[in-house]
Amino acid sequence: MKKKKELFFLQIKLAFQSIPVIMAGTVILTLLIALMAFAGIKMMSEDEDNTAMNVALVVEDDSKYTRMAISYIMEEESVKKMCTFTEMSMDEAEKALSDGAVFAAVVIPRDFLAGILNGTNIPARIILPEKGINSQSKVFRELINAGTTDLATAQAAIYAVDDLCYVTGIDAVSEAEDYLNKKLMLYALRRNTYYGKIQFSDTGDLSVVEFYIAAGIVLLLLLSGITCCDILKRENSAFWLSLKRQGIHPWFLTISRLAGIFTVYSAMLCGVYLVMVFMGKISFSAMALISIPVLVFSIFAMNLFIFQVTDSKMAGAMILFLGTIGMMFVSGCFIPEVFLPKNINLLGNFLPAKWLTTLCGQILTGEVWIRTLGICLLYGTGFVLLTVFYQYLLEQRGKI
Amino acid sequence: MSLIEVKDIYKSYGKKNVLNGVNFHVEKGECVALAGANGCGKSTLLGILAGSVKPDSGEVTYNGENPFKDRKVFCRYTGYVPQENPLMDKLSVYDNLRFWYCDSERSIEEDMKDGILKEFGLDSYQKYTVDKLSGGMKKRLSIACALASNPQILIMDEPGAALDIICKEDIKQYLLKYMQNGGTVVLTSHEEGELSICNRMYVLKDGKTTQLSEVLLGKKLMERMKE
Repeated sequence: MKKKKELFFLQIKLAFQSIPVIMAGTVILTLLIALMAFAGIKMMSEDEDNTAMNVALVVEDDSKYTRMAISYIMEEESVKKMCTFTEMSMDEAEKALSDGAVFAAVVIPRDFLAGILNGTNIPARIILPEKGINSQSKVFRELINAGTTDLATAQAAIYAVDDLCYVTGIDAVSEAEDYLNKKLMLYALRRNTYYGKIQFSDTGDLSVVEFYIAAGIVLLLLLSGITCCDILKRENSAFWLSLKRQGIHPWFLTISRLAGIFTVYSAMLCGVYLVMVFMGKISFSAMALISIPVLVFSIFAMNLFIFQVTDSKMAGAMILFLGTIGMMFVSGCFIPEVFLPKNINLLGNFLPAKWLTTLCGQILTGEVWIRTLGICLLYGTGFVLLTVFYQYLLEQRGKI
Repeated sequence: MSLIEVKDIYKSYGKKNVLNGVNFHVEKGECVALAGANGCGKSTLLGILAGSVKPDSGEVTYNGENPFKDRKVFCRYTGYVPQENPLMDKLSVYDNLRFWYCDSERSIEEDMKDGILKEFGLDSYQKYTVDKLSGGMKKRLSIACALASNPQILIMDEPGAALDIICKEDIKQYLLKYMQNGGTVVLTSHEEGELSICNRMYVLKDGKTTQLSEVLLGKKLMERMKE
């Protein structure tokens, strides 16, 4: 028993002696991951500067009312956000389309307004480039179609009121048309009176930033296995044989080493958590604090398994690195799962990275689900048992 | 009754039969050598003697006591120095010794002053981590760890492997001193220097041991192993 206690204590000491290496490795990994997270956030967030489409406007109708209507539309805030119109001739528009200088060309034909007024409804044309049609092009076309439908509806409404006035003898055609023009054009252009804005997020209850912070923390901890490979790797068989003489099974040494790393990282992360609470960045949750050691345990149990199986620091580091990146990608930790194929999504549900990131996100929000905690604990325990089983197989084969 | 009695030891790994009825004995104060080709099962046999490996069948007794019924018998009687050094690389010399000395009657400090640790020069390397030591110092540390419990029997698997001449000679001189003080040694070796201090020799071939009438060295031993 004395020897077991001494061995356990020495493994804890070994882990604490490795703190400088762990800190240095953590700093480097944090910088690397922060860079990746920054790039991810930039990619996922809206960038208002890039949403305005350049559109060529070819106006063949000389009517001043057409010009007034076009100016009115172009000055509308909701339109300015989406498109930047530049008036040019047809030839210039064709050239700009082929050069890619404009996204589309809108051609207002001759007698366009007259056509609206007399009911012939000569359509405006939208010309899109031959190549590069994408979802943005489709959105633009739908916008234009919606606009022209609204105009046609407005026109029909005005005609209906005109007819009513003529039939009933009400002398209010001008006032009616003026009123209806204002109201209907308002509805046509200010679409936000019809629609509310609902933001859909694949990051669940987390904001995009929180999601990537959670994914970053899990990635950091997983890759920290590389920093700790000297502790997590398989001990030489001679030492294991010597332990067996003492009645100490190799798995005791392995578990002791895991305990050492677990203690160091749990203490570090709990400390960081309490500092963030103190600074008011996140709100305190006892459940979240308890979940941190579970997160650390699950992650390092997996790292331990990898290094024990590979029996080589280099091979273990390679497998850990590639495995972590692959696992996190499939689990939707880099690109949200809605953008991934269904089969990949299905596979991701069974991988530890998904649940570890979910738990980490719940720790950040302070709302930890028992189910998530339980699943992560299960993964951790599973990896420990796999490690012990693997050592048993090695023993049976005489490798230790 | 011999100090060590080995009777009908069988051991196999999967379909490979490594030991097929090994028999030998060792008397107190002797140095017995086990010779054999690489892969013949010498390390396995030493592992069984040391209690690291369990035989499929057979019996080992130390002074009539069966160590497989009580594992403490192994530790009470034997100190084991495997071929690869059984040390924790990232811990210091002192911390490695702490593990082996924790249930010893003697203390590290006592031995650093005028015991084996002083004799091996380990007192100057207490704070060094094991991975920074030379091969010779690591072997000395391994032997010191094995001797921490003051065993009657020292089991050594190729103690001079990959060591320089000076180190080999130091170890050989220590073993002679150990035997003069009543210790018993069982070792495997290919080194003439180490074999020369042995009283008796067994050759392990096809999973069985054969005692030689004399300790053979060099070419004679090689020819005998080929027979």
